[in-house]
Amino acid sequence: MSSEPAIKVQNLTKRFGATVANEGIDLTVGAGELHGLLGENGAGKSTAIRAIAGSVAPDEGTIAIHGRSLPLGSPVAAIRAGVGLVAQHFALVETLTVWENIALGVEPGRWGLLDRSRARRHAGSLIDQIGADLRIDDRIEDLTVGNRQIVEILKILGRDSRVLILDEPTSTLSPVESERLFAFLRRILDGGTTVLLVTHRIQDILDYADRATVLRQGRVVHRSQRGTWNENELVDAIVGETNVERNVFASTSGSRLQLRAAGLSTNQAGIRNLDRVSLEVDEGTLVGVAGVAGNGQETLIRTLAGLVPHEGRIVLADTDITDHTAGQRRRDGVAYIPEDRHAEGMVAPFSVVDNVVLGNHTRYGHRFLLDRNRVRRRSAELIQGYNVRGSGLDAPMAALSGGNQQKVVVARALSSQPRLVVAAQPTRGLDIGAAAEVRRKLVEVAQRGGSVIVTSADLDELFDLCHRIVVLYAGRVAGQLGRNAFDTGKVARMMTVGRDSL
Amino acid sequence: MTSEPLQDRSHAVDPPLGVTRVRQIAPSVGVLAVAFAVGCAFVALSGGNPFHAGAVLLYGAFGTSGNIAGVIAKSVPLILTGLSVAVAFRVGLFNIGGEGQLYAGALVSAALGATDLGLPSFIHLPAVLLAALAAGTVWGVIPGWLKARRGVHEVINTIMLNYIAIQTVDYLVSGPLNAGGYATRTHPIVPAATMPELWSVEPVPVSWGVVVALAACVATAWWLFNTAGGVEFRAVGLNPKASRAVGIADTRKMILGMGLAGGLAGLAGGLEVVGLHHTLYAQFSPGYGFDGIAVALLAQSHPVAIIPVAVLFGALRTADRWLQLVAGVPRDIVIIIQGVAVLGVGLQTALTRRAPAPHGPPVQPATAS
Repeated sequence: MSSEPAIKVQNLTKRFGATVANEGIDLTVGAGELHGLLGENGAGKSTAIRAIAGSVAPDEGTIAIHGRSLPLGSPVAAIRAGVGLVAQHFALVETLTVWENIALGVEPGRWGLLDRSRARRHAGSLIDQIGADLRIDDRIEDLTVGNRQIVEILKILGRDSRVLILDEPTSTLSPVESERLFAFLRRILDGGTTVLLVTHRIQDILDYADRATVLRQGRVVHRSQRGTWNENELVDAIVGETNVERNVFASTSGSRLQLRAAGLSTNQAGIRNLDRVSLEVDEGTLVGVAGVAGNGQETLIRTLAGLVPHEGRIVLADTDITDHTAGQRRRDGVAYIPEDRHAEGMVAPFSVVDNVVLGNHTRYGHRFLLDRNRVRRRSAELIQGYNVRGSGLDAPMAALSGGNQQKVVVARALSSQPRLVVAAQPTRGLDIGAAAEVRRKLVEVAQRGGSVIVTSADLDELFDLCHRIVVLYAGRVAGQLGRNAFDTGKVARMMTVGRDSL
Repeated sequence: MTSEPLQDRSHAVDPPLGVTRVRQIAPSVGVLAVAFAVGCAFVALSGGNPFHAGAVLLYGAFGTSGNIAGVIAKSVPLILTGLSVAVAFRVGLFNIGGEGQLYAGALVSAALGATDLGLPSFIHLPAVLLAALAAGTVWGVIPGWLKARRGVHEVINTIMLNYIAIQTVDYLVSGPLNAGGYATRTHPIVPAATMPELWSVEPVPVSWGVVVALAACVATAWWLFNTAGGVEFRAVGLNPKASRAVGIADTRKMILGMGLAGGLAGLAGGLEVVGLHHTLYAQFSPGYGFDGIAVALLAQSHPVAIIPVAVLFGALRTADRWLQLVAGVPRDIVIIIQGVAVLGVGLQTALTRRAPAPHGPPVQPATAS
């Protein structure tokens, strides 16, 4: 390997209309280095990595890969230079197998015929090289999220990429899966590959990266490296002046029972995502639901929201809501914050106004006619205090950044003064500031006597936020821990083996 | 990074209404221009003069009051079937069943309108039209219910229901309801159930049906955009999952949408019987239910935009025989124009689907958080 840096970006500038996404960014990533790129939502990380991968043509600047300068805005040239971008959302064909996904698009063969055995050998050798816990004939749909992430990376590596760019690879992974991913990344780094890691999780950087660059408002505001950095410095660099308090929780645990769910089971196409789950939650209490992705956490939240047919009973403050539809439960006082805001949280072409009051339009009118002015006043009121930023209330929801979309979703859910908030990964993919705001809002719900059930892939977040943590394993309650008994090791054991002792 | 916390500053950010409208209409106008250009090419290929053919088409559609009346007669059912398809599109469903719903409405109004019930016209006529609406609604609710509650694809069911309705009419018109004589038609509509004339012109007078059709468009637009129910209806069409998650009864909206779509097409059938033919012929529709799909697509499912598009299609369909007679080129060129227009809309959708949000920057909304 030459002494040239793997990635050398100089003076990268990109404007979208009036907004400057990147301004004079310099970024140097040494060969064989794990380099973290940090920043809030909208800080310009995505634009920068897309420029390197060629899918965005910068207005100014130069990009060199292993010393060779890259024609700008050409994905093909970037791929030829060995740049591989693993996007945040997987691009795998779920019904196909691991080897088929790896071969897809670069199928070996001649005269249009697929050389199956060569494709299988290729996939097998990739897996062997890095010792992944995968079989080439596994179907993607049967894999855990962590393993899907690894297949996605293998796919890129299989195209001879020497410079790997990962966009938020750990945002959907459990702690154990993240650890595995980084062990895997370490092996490919040792093999000479370079990794540029885009992330919100400072812990990932502190634990695993060699160097880090922090972007804020499109500029580089901080550079540091292993040995010289510390957490506070990075946090300050990411969010700017403001100091983020982490422990926002004020204990106000009430005494009256708010929710009693007994024997909840679901059966979706033969899969029991929930298996006799029982849960009681008091007023003024925050309960965290932990688990390795796919062990029933999201199903539990959606079941409580009334979106999944289920067995068992649900009683909310003395009312049996078992047979109530999602709409009735909303009126009963259950607010739902979905995990996937694009699929379940918003109507993208609708304006911000209409999204804030979605599902409540019937309240703003005389009989049939909708009172547009009231709707818009009310939605402006509702998102006040959520610090939503964008180009206007009438802009389509799709034009907001992810973090701001999530704030709108949360604002809508909490606008009805709910008794019970069920939230699936409400801070996923948010920057530090936005995540703290969402957490603060959830605490406010508990402070005024409401209850919150929240899932998160980030255990620290649950520890900070919740009175109690319920761990799900294979759709069952593996155990519960009270606030004074929180212990990462215990929770991790329950998450991975289903009980807290080995 | 220039973005600020959102405030109510509608007057600052809203583009003037006219600008928005032009942006919305431009793609459809562009597609039509291309379609007509292709039509001209085919005229030239068939040895005709495109300018002459165009003049002939214009004359055939609007040259005499009789021709204009003919255009209106064809536009009325197209407006309603176009509206029918558009309403279904708005809730995310594809109503290919307009033809069957049209026949269902026509059948019921022919049955109820042919007997003198001794009722005054202001009762008999509305009753007949409401019955047509109801029959179409039933024909729409069936696939709507199957889709919403059982997950059966509405395209399959509406197509099958088309056959059932058309064949049933065929049978009844040539059998039990046949008026006798050589023509396969039912007994004539009695005066009390006949739609009065709005404009008496030879050879075919224009009935008040055109007013009914226009009113239906305005009412539908008003409902879709100015009522809470309409907003929720469109929300379901754009994202049914998110709508369900906020408690909107999405399946009920789908059934409502198909019912409404069916009702509008049924009303078209009723108006054909009581406003134009004054009897029910077998195979009376030249495919209005299917042409409605093209109308809705070109109008981008906007209830008011349906009107000019339907008139355009009505004009083409009225004037096409003049092409053959006077300009000496095949009348099928009109069908080519229609086909290219629909293809163009489809192509446009396919090409712009992956495009970014209309106001956002191309990659990621680069707003500071």
